[in-house]
Amino acid sequence: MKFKATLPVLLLALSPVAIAFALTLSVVYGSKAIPLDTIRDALLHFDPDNVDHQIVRHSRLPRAAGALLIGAFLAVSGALMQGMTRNYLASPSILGVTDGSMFAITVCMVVVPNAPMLTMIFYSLMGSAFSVAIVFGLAASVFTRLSPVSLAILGTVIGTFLSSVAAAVGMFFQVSQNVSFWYNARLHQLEPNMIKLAIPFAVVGLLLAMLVAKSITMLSLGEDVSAGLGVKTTAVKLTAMLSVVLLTGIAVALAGRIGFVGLLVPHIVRMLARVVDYRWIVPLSAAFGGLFLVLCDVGSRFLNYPFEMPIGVVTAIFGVPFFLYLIRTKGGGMRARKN
Amino acid sequence: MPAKIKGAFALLLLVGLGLIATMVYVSLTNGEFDITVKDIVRTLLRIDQNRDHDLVVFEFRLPRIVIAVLVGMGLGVAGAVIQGVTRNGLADPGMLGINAGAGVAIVIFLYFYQGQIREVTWLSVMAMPLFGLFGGLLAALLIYLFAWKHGRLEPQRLLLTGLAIASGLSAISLFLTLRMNSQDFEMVAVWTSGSIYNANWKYIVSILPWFAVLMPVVYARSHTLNLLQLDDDTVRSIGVRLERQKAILLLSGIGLVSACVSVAGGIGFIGLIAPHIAKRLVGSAHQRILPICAIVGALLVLTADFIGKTVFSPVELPAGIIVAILGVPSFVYLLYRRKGRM
Amino acid sequence: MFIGSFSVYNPLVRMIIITDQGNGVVEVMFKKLTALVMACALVFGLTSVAGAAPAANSKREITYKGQVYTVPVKTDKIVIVGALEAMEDALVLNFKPLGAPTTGGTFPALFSRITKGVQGIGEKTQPNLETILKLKPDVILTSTKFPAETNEKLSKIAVTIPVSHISTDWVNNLKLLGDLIGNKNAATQAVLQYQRELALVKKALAPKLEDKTVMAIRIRAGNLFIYPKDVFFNPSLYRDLGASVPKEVAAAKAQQNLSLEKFAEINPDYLFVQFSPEENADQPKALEELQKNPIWKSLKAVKNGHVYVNIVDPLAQGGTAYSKISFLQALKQTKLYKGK
Repeated sequence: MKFKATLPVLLLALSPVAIAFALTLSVVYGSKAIPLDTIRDALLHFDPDNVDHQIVRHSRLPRAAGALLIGAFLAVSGALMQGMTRNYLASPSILGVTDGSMFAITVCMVVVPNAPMLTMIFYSLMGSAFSVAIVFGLAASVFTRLSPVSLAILGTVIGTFLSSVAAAVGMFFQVSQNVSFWYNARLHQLEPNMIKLAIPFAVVGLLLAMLVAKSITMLSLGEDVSAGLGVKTTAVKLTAMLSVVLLTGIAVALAGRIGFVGLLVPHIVRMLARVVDYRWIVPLSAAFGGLFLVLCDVGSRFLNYPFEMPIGVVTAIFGVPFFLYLIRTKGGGMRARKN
Repeated sequence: MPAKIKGAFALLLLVGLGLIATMVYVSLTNGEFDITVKDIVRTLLRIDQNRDHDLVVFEFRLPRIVIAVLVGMGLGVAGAVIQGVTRNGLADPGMLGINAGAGVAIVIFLYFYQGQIREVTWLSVMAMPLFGLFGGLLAALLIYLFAWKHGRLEPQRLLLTGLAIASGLSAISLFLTLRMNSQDFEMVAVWTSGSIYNANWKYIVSILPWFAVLMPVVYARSHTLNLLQLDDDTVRSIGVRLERQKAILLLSGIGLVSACVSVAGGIGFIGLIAPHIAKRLVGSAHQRILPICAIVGALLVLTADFIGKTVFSPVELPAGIIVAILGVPSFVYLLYRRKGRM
Repeated sequence: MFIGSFSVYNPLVRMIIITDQGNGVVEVMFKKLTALVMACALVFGLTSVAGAAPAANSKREITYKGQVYTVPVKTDKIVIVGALEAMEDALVLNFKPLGAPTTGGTFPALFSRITKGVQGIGEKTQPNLETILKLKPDVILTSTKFPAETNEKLSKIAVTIPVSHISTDWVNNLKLLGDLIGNKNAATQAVLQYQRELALVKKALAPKLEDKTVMAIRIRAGNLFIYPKDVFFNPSLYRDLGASVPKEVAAAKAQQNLSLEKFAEINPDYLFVQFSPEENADQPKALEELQKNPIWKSLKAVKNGHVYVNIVDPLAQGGTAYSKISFLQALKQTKLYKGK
């Protein structure tokens, strides 16, 4: 298929500059004032005894990198979900994915009280996969023609169910608030080894996403069209789901629940780049998602100074108005438009 | 309606009421405190005036039962109304933003005021429900206004706006709850899951007017609800007056749910499940669906509360959690059986 | 002084008394310390309040925080509902309540001394009213944090006194329980002992704390938390021992999450770390992970070995008599107190 590529190419070419700028902001501005030359020294002549150097290396850098990756993961997941389900509301937080992981973490906190970080991340990943399987399984097998609203509600219903079970367990063993902390205030806890852990997932997840991007484009035009074009619907959907589980799962495991990125970014990408081809939407979503979350993270350090605002609150500040705008313009039609 | 259906419906109503009576009996006679059935009857009939028995029956068990029945009825009927108006079988009254709005109001209340009110007065007892009521109504009206476009209320947009506002509101509660100490947090958790643990006669009195006014209003519009199930063009040809009826129905539903949420917290799923069960039992006429919804709702909450307070006794679990744990799988099963398009 | 003249079975209080008797200098210093004059006045004042003579009939009046409660003369059947503050007071006075709240269905180990054979009355959030009624208590101690409607219901079972959760009420709270169980003396002595002990420790520490930043934090699920200056162990540090309040603590309106970066900026000289009660104190994985963090390692308190972990049971609330006494005792064993 042919498409006009100038705009997306331009955007994709510009994004590294914007990202570099955002990352610099994130490293330079934190709760502690560190002079620029100290930051430069920290990067070039690292001195392990200097607190400022340690902060730059072990807090600011991993945090900036983490926000970039997580934003990219969530945005790509959202783009895939939206394309695959032809549903403009599809996104990790609305479809109950995070609730599944929350459920698993609650169980983990009760069963293995002092689990090291890696075990928790593993549980969280399993939980995400579990809820994705339930929601999409139901959507695929029970409701063959699901309107955007109904899919969103189905996600909410399953999500509420999982979080109710989690609440019961958490309440009985009185770990509810710890679970909540795990979920909502973790970006500043990112450490270099956790970022390293995320890399293989990222590579596989993003590769899969790019692999199915072309087929997703056709799916997004309608299943009849795509079947006519010879797309193996089931195989494509399964691959896309695997990618979503990997990307969302690791994002939730690393930083907890961050809403709206997956919903908002793909829409912004479509608006700016005016494309329907997922071979452009996927990489652009990755770039913009990362950029968006890095900037939100910088904001979170100053909105509630001297303390930090939970990142989920910052994304909600942008996300809710945008969500309302989407509803206003797209309505709740029984079928999502193709983009 | 034909006499045969009428007879079957009457029988169903009787069976439903019989089941409620059985659940009431079970809830009234079982609990941590050992009290014989004979003593309960004597207490109820005011023959025996034992102080402890009075407390158990009139203060601990009866208010909970009454609230359970009322809340179940309210949520069940509101569910039927909201599913009917939005024509979406997955709509739940909790999604209209009422639960989220009330939740934020309760969090604000606990965060800023809890522990500052010393005396136990009428106002202090009613403070939490009042906060919840206003929070819920405010959020619902906000959503209602957002969903209004070109002089028309689009139901799908209403549901989506509900989701959006709810996610925004939960960001606010998140910000506050993360700063609470763990004991306050547990309180919020109990409230948001929905619990009728704190049921008392003041609560009952405070929600009765809502029921007395809104239930008849809704029931009188059963026919409108039936009309709304027809396809778009037919509905449109009937005319503009339907818009007003829709608005009245929705606002009544919102009122009922707000009243229930104010005393019972965020009990979900009743409004989602009850209409589905009712439709399986009595078909699609709302004259019959509404009463059955009320009965099913009442039964669900009664049973859930009973399970919540007895299974792990003396530890009590909030009724809302039990409803969710039992309700969602059965709901999914129901849908699976229908396997239709939603 | 009549310190040794009554028997206190609480090993904690007894320990203070023994240490004290073995030290003759104490008596001399005692008179010089204004803090103690205040303490005496406090104790004296309280004794006079609690001394409101029992009426001739089977009732008596107890005044607590400006409210008058009419209770039976003998009130040793007490159910504690939800108020962990009251549980800690019971621990100081070594008093076994009739019923007490459970956590996850069992009693926390901290209270094992006073909960053997005690009836659990459900979780803190939703105490089982019928179980409480079955116990037929004389008095129910709840928390001022409880919803008014729950307190109202409880008050129909028996006289219900909401115990203040505010740390500055700790003396009142302890005195209240002492009065209820007919052991006012033990409560008075515990307060007196604390004040005396405190004066000594304060004097010894004053030069060490000058111009230094002292903080108490809690680790919950890998997060660092600080609390307002009159919550947690902060009253012990700032109000009692007179350390200066860091501006972040002063700014905290409630429990507040702190990033490690921010914490490194505060860079305290002395640090008290408490785990969250839900975490296993024997296997401090969360702390181990923190200890591996290079930023943590570069903190002043860490470098100089002034991090004190869980010196008091993590479940202790911080502002109560038990917490204060245990904290002070534990503090005396630390390098901060013993070292030069």
